[in-house]
Amino acid sequence: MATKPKIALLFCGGSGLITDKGLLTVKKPADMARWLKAIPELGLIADINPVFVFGGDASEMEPALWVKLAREIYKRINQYDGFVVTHGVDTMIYTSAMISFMLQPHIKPIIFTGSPLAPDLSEDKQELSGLITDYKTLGVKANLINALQVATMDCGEVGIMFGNRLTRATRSIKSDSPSFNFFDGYKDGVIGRVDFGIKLLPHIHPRSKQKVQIFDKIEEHICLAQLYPGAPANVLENMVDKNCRGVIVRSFNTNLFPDSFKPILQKAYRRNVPVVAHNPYALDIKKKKREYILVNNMTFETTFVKFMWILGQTHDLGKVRMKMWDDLIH
Amino acid sequence: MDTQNILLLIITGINFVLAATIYFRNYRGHVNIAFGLTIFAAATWTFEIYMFRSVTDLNQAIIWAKAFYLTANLIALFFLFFAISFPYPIFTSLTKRLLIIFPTIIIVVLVFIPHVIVEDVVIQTWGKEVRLNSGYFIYIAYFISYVIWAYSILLKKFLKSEGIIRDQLKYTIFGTIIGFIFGTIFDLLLPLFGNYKLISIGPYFTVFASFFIYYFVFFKKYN
Repeated sequence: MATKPKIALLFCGGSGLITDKGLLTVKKPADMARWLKAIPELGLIADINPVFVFGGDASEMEPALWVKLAREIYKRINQYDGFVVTHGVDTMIYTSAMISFMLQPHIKPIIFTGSPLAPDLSEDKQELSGLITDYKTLGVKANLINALQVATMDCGEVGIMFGNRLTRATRSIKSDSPSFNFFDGYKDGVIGRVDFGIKLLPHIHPRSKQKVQIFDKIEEHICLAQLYPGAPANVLENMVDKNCRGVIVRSFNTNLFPDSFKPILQKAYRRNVPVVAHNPYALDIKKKKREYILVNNMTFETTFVKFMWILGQTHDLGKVRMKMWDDLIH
Repeated sequence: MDTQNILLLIITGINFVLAATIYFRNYRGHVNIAFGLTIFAAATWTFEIYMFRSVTDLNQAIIWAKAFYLTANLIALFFLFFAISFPYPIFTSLTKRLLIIFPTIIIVVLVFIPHVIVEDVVIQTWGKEVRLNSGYFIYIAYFISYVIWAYSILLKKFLKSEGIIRDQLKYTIFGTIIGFIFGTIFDLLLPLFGNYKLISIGPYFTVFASFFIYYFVFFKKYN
């Protein structure tokens, strides 16, 4: 690029930055200027326009904030070369996956990143202090600089930049243990790596010039159940009876539901309440006449937000089923 | 073939392989292009020193001597561009980039103007020696100032860095600085004081850069 790339930096939590004076976070719009002043490197890479969306903890994220974030990005989509979103790690996968569905097609990079540090604790009190000694700090700075670089590259993806990995938002999973890389990729979910420089892998989608549309209607009233040995069927029945607009059940692998659940599944089907059986290891095959929708090729987080998003567009069971199985992105 | 020449050829090979590896690993990345070119220039410089030592014809020796001075000049330029872009780019306008290249072009011209930097080549009992002229001081000033400029950029980035970026800078600075220090001593400063015997030693130290970068790219894991 002949001129400095223009990047919108959206604050949505996860902005813990270690400075000589302690932990600096953006909790309100007035904090942005001081925070940006503490990372002068950002201005060397791109022209940064800060946008405040949310300053709380990742656990406080809610659907209304997803809509707000999507709208803030959408209204700037033609004015910027890319977008970087700071976000707390706990719900980053949910938010980034939801933005993937709300803003389509993906023509520019929208890169999520953040610090695992809790905003209200000093660094020495964090549970991750063992890692801090190795890498000086676990603040947002290094992740943010790498995310910003990706946002200037030929990348048309919603992704998560963390540690030395760039993962596709809808294929991101949390790493097993607290580590330098908090996220990993599920089924080709890693789309870039940092080793010597930042390398975008060949299966990454490039930028494009299509028109972006916003689909920000979502169904918030969905319920979640987990199967376990001896799980009572009335748990699912209560959900169907109590006006859940859709239910996700984390099911077993081979025989997805015990027999006691089958009448409840039929009841849900009759009442037009879609039930998603999620298990990435499920051996069952997809059949259109089933009373439930098997999803075995997506992460739980993506299944969850995709279901919310699809129910925001339609409640037709057949359409919901097909959309859950379709690759709606790209 | 003497041992020193064999070592020079081995180091040439190692550096060519590293340059190709770095470049083809991400041939669209500015960092990989700049560092690939730096190592490629180091490999070419090593090979030219080998050729200078090997040829018996003095006219050919002068050509190879001029060639390795020219290539060493490019190492400094490419390394400066690498420092600007690694691990994150400092935006520089086209005008600034041209201003960075301009002194290099002047040095290239000076290398090829007879009797400015390279006077001639003479045979000594221990081998060939390049007799240098007063233009060599300009050459040294150029080379050292570009290398110091590059390291000052990298060190500034390192001091402000954290996380993976700190790790990247640590390996790169440590790996490359050994080559630059010993290359400068044996191939730039000692010849200034009339000692040309040890010019084959400088290139040996470029393998440290290869070692560190190979380790960082292929063996360093982040769990």
